[in-house]
Amino acid sequence: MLDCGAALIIQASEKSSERFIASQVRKARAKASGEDCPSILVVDDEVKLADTMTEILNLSGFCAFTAYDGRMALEIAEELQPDYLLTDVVMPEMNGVDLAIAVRRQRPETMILLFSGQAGTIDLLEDARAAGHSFDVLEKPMHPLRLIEHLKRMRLR
Amino acid sequence: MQIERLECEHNPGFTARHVAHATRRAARPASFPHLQEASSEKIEGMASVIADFKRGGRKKEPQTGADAVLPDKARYSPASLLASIVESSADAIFSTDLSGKITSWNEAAQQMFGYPADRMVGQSLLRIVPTEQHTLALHDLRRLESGEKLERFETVRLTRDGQHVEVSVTISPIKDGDGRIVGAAHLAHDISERKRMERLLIRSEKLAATGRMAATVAHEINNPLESVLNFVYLARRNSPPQEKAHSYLLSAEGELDRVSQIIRRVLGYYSETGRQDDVFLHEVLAEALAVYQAQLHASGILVDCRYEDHRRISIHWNEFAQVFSTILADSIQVLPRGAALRFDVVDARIAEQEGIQLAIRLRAPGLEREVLDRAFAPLAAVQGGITSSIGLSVARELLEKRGAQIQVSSSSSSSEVTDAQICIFVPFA
Repeated sequence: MLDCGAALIIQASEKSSERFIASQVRKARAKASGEDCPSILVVDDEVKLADTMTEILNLSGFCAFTAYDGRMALEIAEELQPDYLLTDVVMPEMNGVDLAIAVRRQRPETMILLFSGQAGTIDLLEDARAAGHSFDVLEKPMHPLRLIEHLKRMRLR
Repeated sequence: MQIERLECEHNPGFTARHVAHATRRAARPASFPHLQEASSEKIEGMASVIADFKRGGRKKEPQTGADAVLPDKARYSPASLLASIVESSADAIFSTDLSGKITSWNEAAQQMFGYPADRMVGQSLLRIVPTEQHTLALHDLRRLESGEKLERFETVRLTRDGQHVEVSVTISPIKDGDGRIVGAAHLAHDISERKRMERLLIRSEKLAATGRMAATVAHEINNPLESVLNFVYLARRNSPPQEKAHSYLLSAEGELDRVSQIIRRVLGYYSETGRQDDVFLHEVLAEALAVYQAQLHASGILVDCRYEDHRRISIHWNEFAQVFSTILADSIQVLPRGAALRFDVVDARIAEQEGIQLAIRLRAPGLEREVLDRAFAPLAAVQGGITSSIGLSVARELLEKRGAQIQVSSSSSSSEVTDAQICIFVPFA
């Protein structure tokens, strides 16, 4: 199993620095291109959850990147062109469903998995489905290994 | 007194108002001389409450408008009209003297309580009153005799075969020509169905409230729980396998995983969207069994499996994992030690449809059949506790939404052992 090493984590306090984000993304892309591992962008406004998930994915053969909100994720995704997007659904400003739709528009091949722990998810998903967008959804809490199994199954489809 | 059948349905202009009017007039024989002429009996009283005489239709409250006019007086004498209405009423109407001895008994009373008129006239009213209410029933008659007005009340009465019937009762005085109270007219309206619906509503409201609370609690802790799961997993990955801490963390991880599944099961609404996976159904079952293996073992439940499904099926893995987890968790909660569970997953064809069938056969010593009969009732109380049947009823909804079927059947192979089978059929899309 590949180990991409330490996670690239963009701290919440540094969110405002777009230049910083861009530089991190470029570094991330350089690192990812040197490794034969699928890239995955982890997006969650719960910092600890996003950080630990990124670390676990890095330990499990993925090259994982982190964002703490939808807007930041969209910027990183534009540069990164990730193989996977793993995103929380209910987030301030830009929700996970809108992010997923935007990322899919940017790069249709990106495999998108929504990871939700909120009751409001159902309505958001139904709205998206009505608009022709369908996504895989997993419910929090879920053991990280189950989540990884799901990601791997998505790749086999 | 001659009784004429009144076909109310053919007289749309005839309303409860007319009936009430006629009733009042009939109770005053002096104002209705031809009534006395038509009858050899002295009219001493009359049931003055008429309600719900159109069976199955909208319930009409008795009206007492003074301006009511009887239609077609030539065709219906008020006495025969009233007798006919009482006799054809959907409500039980009977009269008693002041000691509680029954003096008349209509057709609906026979239907409601199971006694024909000739078996009840002359008998005590207490025959249809539960023992614990005997004193109260006689006390009501004394209150009526003293001129007190009795409000309508809801109570329980006894049928001939000992069943309870919930009724709304109105008791009115019967007066003789001098205005003395000489008896009581009793009207009993069957409210069993309304009461049943009320209980269902209360239960479903309780269920909804419980569900809302569970959802709120669950959502508040989902994110931190996911973080804790991740931290524990990372801590274990970073601890030397030979150290005790490693095994502790492994245990903690297992327990957290269990908590996660319980939350999802209690929360109940898990519904996956997006693409389905082509999997063998037994793979999903095997994973759920692996999660509950330790608990099944600790509960003394024996498990046997036969996997003979040879085709993959397109399903949402996590939805079916939830269904199987719910069934297993409920089984652990309900089944006694020594129970056996057998799982057979096979290719099947049901009603021209091909699919995969999972038959779960259980054999349980000392398990009451009704426990299984209530398996899908939400919040069913079982053995002094509450099952997690929110999950099981949701599981059925989930399966049916996906075009699958689930059925429970049970039988007792002996007085000590109950056999049951849960069958799930998932058709190929």
